[in-house]
Amino acid sequence: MSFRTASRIVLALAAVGLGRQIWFHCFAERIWTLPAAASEPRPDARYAAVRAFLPASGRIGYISDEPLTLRPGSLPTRGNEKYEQALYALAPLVLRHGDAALPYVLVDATDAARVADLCARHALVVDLPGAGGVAVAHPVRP
Amino acid sequence: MTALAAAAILASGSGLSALAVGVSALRRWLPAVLLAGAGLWSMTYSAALFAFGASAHVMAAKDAALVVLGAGALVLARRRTGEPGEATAPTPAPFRAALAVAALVATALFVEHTLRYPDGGADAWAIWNLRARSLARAGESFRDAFSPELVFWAHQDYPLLLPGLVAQSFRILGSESFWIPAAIAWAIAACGVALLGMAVRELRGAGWGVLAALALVSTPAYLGFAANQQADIPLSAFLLLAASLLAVALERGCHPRLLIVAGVAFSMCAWTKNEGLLYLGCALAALVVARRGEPLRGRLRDALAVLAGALPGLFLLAFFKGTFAHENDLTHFASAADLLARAASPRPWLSLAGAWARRLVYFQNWGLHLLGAAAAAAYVALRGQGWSRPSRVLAATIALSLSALLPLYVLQPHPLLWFFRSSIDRVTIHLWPSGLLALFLALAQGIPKPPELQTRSR
Repeated sequence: MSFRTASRIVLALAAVGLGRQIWFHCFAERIWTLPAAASEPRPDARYAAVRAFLPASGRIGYISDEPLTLRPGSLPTRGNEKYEQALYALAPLVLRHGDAALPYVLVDATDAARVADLCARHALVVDLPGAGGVAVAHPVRP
Repeated sequence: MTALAAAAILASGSGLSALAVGVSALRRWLPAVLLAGAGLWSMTYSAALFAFGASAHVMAAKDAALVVLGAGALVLARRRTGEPGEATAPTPAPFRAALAVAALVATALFVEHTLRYPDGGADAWAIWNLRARSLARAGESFRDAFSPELVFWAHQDYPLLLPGLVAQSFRILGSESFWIPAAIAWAIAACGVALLGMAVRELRGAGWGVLAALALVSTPAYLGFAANQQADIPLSAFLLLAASLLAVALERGCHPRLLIVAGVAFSMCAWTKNEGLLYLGCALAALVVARRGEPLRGRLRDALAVLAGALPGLFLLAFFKGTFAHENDLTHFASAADLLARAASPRPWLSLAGAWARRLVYFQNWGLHLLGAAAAAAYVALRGQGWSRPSRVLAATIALSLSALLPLYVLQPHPLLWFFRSSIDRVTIHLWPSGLLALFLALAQGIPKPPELQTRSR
């Protein structure tokens, strides 16, 4: 293939590829919404208060009112996403899903009203009620 | 600390690259220098962490050792080579301008995406940046980052090249700003584009180099994965580094040092993502099977030289997998009966074939690039000139890799089409820059460099 032919083809492909990206980032995602999107809270914000209360490393329990996929074969759920966000925010803590017997248990509920219900079900006492359904608790009988 | 880290990256990258291409060619191979240096900086971080712990003194000593070893390699390379760099023609101006515009647009869109999604795509924060945070924050408790008590979606067994780069940067800069992993993602993607352009320019002339770089930077998926801060672009860049060195070796005579350094680059692939190991295996096989007219002994010797270069990195990977990486979701949860049932049923194979064909025209991520590449490969195959030696080996590596992935897709335990859709573009982007290298080397085979364009650009 001559250089001239190849260059014409590549320039056309590049125009299409870059055009697609410009369309997506500027119009499909609506670039004028960028300031609002950029100021949205990051996943860390939900767990900022409890992070200051929890130990810096080690193992804590993790209780949620949303089911998690724990083995391959099914798709990850909203519960998985919340668990991963908590893990990301609280790293390097090891979050043991379903373990309510450790001295610190992260209660990650859909909303604040569900925290008490989860604590009652797992025999937990709230130490630090956080915002948006997040709390730190400990077992009634350690 | 920052200056020492920068010196470690530059010195070790220069030393390793000089052993392959000679000291006089280092300026031309700057993207390779930076990639090799970053790879060595991260691999030695993990090795030092596993062997001596996470203290700042250990890491400073590790960086100092990299500076000394890099300088030693530079001296050794100067003694051994000393040949002047091959003069290259200037880049044609109109195409250089087109590439500059494309790079600027891609960078602007990268920044826009970073501002909108500062933590990157789902895999970035759920795997790569999570691991980087864990390593940077945990100190001597770094083993917690790979705890089997974490839910398996954290993929504790994934290798650490990218998290190692980000974690060290977090520690050295004393900040966990989202701009740090974003800047690393941008730099590696930019090095990938520059390296492809440079490698094609080195072997086929400036004009073809610019075309190759333009084809890569304008690929929608390339920008998307880079901006999402995932490990797929670093893997593609290290694979391209290995492929470029292999291509130079195969075109200009297989000097063992080139092949050994290519092996080191392959080990960086394996230390970036598990797929890297597969690509190394396929490249070794391709070096033997795709050069059938050549003596078998020479082919085996070349493959062994590549393997020898990869060995230190493979030891690190084997130690990590044996000591810290407890399970892999693709293998740990699968039973023999499940595997047999999946392999025997024609349905998943047919679904996979259909899904793969659809991907060729998946405009959102690939524009018309994949179709264009398939058409160009068909043209090369049909024109009667055949593939040049480096193109043939690289194309065989890619074909073997894709063939090996087929049974992996069918046999893995996740829902097939979900797993395919969430991973196939990543696998394709791993191979894409090396595929472009193979394609452009084949397309420009035996064609004189366009003198009129070179004259115009002066």
